[in-house]
Amino acid sequence: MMWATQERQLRQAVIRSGYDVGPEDTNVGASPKQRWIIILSLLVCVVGIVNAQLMAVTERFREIGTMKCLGALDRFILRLFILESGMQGLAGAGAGALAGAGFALTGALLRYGFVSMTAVSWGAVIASVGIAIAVGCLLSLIGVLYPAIVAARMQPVEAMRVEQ
Amino acid sequence: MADQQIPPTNQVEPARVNRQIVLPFVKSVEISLKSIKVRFFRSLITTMSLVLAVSFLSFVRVSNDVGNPGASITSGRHSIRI
Repeated sequence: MMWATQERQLRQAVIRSGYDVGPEDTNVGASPKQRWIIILSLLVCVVGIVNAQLMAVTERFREIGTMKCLGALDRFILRLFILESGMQGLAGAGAGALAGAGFALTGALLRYGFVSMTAVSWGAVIASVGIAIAVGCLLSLIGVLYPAIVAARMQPVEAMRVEQ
Repeated sequence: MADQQIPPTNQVEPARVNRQIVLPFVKSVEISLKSIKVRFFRSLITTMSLVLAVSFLSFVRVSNDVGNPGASITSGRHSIRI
């Protein structure tokens, strides 16, 4: 009974804070608009990563050329770029997911009070953080794929010819 | 005189196959880490865009998770109308 009262308080707080919750709604925030905003933000992020990695490839023309002249195969270059991006992705996605979850929980604590912490499903929160980390790593890998293929297919002579 | 041997001319020498170059995985990790360290600021900027996007995703999902117990009160065993 106490649990139900707490949840009722939380529901009122959720409605007061601006969530559009109807009398029969059992889920908040799963609107298509919200999904589109998230997808757009992730798309902008991927474009940024592709741009930065293409710059990195241009910056490292000579290094790649030297490695290829010494006998490095295409897959070595590909592996180097993918590893670098994987490490960046894991670090960035981990930090971002924890920061986002921290801000969300702090905001909920300040806005709804302690009742939000007792009623929240921690399993769902951990799953959300895990999904965010996985999406971040995936985006990082997708972003580096094209620049890494460009670097790997580069002819060593062309790479060495570039003036810096 | 008769047992003087003529070297065979039509014998093909086996082609010498060089050992294939292999880059160990540990070495690749080391090179990648070194290249991140050398261009740390550029890597940081690349990572920051990812951090912002992922933190937005995580923020929205966790906010929904926090709000959901309040919204799900009408379903299941708690059939309470407000």
